Amino acid sequence: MVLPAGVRTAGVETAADLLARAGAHTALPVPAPLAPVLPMRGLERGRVHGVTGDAAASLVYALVAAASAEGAWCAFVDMPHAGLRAAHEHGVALERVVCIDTDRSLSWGRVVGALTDGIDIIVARDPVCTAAEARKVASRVKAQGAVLIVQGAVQSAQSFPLDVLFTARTQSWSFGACALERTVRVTAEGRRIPAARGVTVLLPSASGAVAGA
Amino acid sequence: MRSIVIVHPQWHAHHGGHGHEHSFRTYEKVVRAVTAVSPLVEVTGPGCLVFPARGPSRYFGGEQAVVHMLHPLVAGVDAGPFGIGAAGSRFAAMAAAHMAAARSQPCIIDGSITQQFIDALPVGALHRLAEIPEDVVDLFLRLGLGTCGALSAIGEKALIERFGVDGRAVHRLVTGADTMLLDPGAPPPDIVRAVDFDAPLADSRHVVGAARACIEDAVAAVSRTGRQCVRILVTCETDHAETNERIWVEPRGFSAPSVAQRLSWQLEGWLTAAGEQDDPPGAVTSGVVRVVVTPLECRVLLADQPMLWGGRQQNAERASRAVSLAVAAAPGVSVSVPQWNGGRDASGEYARIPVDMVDLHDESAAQERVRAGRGVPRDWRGALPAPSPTVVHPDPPAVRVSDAHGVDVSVTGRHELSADPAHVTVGRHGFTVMRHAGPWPVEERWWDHVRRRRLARVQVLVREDRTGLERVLLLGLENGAWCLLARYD
Repeated sequence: MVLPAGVRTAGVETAADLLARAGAHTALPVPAPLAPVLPMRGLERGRVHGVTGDAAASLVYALVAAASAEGAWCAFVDMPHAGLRAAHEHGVALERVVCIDTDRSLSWGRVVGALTDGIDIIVARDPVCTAAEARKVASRVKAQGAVLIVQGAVQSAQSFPLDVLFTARTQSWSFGACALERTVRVTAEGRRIPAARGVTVLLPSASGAVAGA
Repeated sequence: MRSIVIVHPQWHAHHGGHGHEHSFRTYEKVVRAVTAVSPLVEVTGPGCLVFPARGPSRYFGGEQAVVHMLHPLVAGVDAGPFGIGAAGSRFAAMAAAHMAAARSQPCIIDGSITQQFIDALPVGALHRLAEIPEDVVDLFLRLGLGTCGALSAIGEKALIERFGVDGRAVHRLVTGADTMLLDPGAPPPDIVRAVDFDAPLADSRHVVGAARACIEDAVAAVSRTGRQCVRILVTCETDHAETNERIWVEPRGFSAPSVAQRLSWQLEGWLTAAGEQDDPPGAVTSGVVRVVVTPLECRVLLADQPMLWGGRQQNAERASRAVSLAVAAAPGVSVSVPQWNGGRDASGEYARIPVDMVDLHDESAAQERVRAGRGVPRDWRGALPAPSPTVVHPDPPAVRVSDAHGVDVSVTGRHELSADPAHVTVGRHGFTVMRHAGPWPVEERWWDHVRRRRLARVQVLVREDRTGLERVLLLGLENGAWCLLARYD
């Protein structure tokens, strides 16, 4: 039976409806203040995200926090500098975090590729790989439905076929008896985002997590 | 089969304050004391161990003699309440030990009255002492079957018909048969795995690391047969032919990391014993050269099939598998997990411990590991206020901090800044200081001339000269030199 366009029958769904509903399941949640900037209102599985800007480190923790708290596993690749207490304050569940330090050689792609098999979110800082290897990693991320977040300067991230590129720029700090909170402009652009979107958030807010400005 | 059980009913409540792992580690003292009487004991969990009565009672002249010998030994290790019970089956001995703990004197149930003793036990004991699911026990109660005697009267056929595998286990328990054999005899040789080291290893971490492949191999050999190991015998041997063997039980089934964890507990108690006293019994005189892993009891994997859409446990298994794949992918990869350590330093609060030392599957242990305030309660006065720096330099680069007149800033003996900082130089980048906070002093181990540490930390809000961006930096002054400890990126 062919349904005329625009006619809806109770209990019958169109493929687009199904796709939209399935989309809700394939995106990992992010904290509410950041949701408007993301195309699926969450970190879409199978995609490569880039994070850059002077507030990149905080933004990475904020992006990962909600999914991690809900049971996703995270790997921090080549991030010996990661401030784990800050990650904890952002809401990252450290019991599901593994820190992986590669020898920063050509095997980087294989290590990250292996991680996609079981780790939901992989955060890699300043990846060392050729463009061909980056494509291979990206296709593996897609096949396994993992989320790859590449943090670092845009130059190194450019070799990656990024689906979304976030830029986090500090606007101002509020400074009292110590550093308290910071206003950050987060913008997202990419192939799947028709017009660049932006949101202004407190990153971190006084509690350490992200909050609406 | 006659068994002797020693229970410390309140062990976990007394020693579990620092987590499951801590109570296991402290329980090792009790286990070591008991191995003086029976070399092979089975640790069911922290606070409960079992061993067959036959060997020791023949050697020492009767169960009475063994129990009287054990009592002062165990009492000497820990002051908490404990009970020693002996009976014709493991379940009965366990019940007898709990009874003994309540009466604070050993309880030996003679072979002729073991069945009467079991018959009088309430069915709740099946859940508390023998892993029978709570809902099954609950159903027995609602059916009016209040004692084990009533259950044995209705017969094996009826129990299996209605309760399947659980029914069979219940029937065995209430008739005084064992569901687990204490002395299993020779295991099939194809699932026993052994590893020999070229040089004796004295550090438990090295032994665990070196035995890892062997453990994984043994677990894989069992799982190839479609089964899962629930009881495992781990034997270590030193260069001087000293051996340490222990049976471990995990009702949820052993994975390779959980066996490695048991091995590390077993070794820590044994290898570090040498340093504690002058000449403790059973102290080692050499390093470990051989580790043997013998799966004793296996269970069909079917009973523990994962959920269709995956639960948390399954996620952990996937993650753990991915991590081992990543390690195998390249030789230079090191994997660590965070562990809360405490401290005033931004870098030291969470330590990173090698993943070999932990079991990624164990969710409660993982939560315990990262819980703030675990371990010895201490007051970390002088710790930095939240929010915390997002980028911490393990190897802080040197910086120059000067005041408005270009003079270097220092900190007085009373932890006060000599002048307000006005300019910070990190490498080739210059920053103009807009605000500053602190200093937060750290004085650690002032009594120790070698390890003492005196550090002042200052938080500065700066404007980068080149880009005009506002940044917050955490600077430290130690031994007269400033360094960039962390950034708030």
